[in-house]
Amino acid sequence: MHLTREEEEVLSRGDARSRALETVVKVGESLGASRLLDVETAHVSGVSYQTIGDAGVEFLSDLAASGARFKVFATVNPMGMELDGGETPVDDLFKSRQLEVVKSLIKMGASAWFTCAPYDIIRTPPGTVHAWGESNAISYINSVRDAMSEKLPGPFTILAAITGKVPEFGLYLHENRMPRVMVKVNGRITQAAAGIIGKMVGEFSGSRVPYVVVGPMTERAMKAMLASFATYSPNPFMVIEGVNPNWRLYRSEMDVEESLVIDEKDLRLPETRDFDAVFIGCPHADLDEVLHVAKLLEDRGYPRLAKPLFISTSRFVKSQLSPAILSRLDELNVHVITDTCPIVSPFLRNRGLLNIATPSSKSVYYMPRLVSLNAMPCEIDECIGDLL
Amino acid sequence: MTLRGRTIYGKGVIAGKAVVMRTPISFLGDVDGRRGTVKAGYEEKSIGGRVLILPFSRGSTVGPYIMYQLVKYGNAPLAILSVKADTLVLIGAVMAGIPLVTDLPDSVLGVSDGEEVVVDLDGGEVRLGGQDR
Repeated sequence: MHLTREEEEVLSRGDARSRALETVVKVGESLGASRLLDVETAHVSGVSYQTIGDAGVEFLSDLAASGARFKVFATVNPMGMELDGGETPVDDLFKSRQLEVVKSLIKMGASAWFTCAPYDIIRTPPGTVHAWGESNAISYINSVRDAMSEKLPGPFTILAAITGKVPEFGLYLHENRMPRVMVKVNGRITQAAAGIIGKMVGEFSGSRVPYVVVGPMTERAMKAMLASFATYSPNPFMVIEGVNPNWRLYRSEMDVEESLVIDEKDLRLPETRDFDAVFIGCPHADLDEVLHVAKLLEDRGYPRLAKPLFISTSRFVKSQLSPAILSRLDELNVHVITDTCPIVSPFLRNRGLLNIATPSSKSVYYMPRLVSLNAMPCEIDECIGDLL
Repeated sequence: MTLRGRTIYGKGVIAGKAVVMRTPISFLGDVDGRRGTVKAGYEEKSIGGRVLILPFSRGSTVGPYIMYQLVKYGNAPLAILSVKADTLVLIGAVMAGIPLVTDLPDSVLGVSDGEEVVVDLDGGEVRLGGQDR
């Protein structure tokens, strides 16, 4: 692999950054990369104690103690509980181990935002290079903005944050971003339907990049589609006609070998059975999504919901909501939580809630696998309707 | 018999007794990073100081942390030999400093537990029975 003089110099130092760079180089060599790229930002995944356990806690704390510091701006994925707040109960051991992770990350210089939708807040212009480890977020910045990130494993995002480098491989190379399959979607796209589209596109495309022709959809549907796509496909990039800033370029250069048509009849949801709670915010809800819920409740005269509705979001979104709206939502049994989400936290189970309805396909996939919850898909307007 | 693969990480020649997993393992769940054991059906096998042979590992992003624990607590395998290596095992091996040879033929899974294996990391070769035969 070709290394720059600056990279050679870092390697010769023998400090924590030097060791991290050595690892990045070796990984790059085994991936066949010919050089390293400078990244603008890193997004660290795998920070919940529930996910990484004691092994991860030890790794991060040893690394921080060894003097490792982040070189580039680095955000952090949701963790296992709210940093402060009583809505997400966890036991004392969990809490102390989780706080140790937070301490290590902050010590290394992370911007501890604890959100899986950092793209809502930071700029990632076309062609810029990033080292991200959260599949929905990677899929979003690649597909909507034509920024570049491969799907990096959590531990590797830490090394990328420390070194500011990634090997040039996969989606970091223009030639690997060319669409190979075409998907045409007919019909109206709701949020839950968008999740089904993402799954179908992901399963059809496999590791090939799809070129997707689809009608207009809301931002929350777009996020749901890309999150679901990235759950079901190893490849976190689709070219969406009219959305990706370079879609014309991709269309003129692509070489399509297979096509799929998705019709409205393919997008029907199964009947929602008994559920204990409703969850939205996977990926983390943006302001528009929270206000959509507030509007639904307003239209119905502010009824108190029969079962709790949880909305996961970032502190940035919550801080834009007035205390009046937040306390009104709370009175209506709507709980706005930050820093975490129910697929990386045991809080729903700890509250005795085991059967969850959600418009998020990604949550329907992960809830049974990661936190042993029973999850079922629903359209938010309809599952709120069931709670009146 | 000599089997040819590709060295991802490690230098020199390593010799040791084999521990063979005939089905894929997940480092998260199957491997105890502190005790250096791996679940094999109802039993456990120690992998510390052995040459761990496996078809491939199933990806969990926590895998590299478990591999780090194996080294930290002194129970890491001398080397890992695999038929295929996903990005996570590759990253885990490099991060933890565990020698890794991959792209080996399926016949590597025919080695018995306890059999002496010589791993030539510089050449990406695995010699069975301690010498060529």
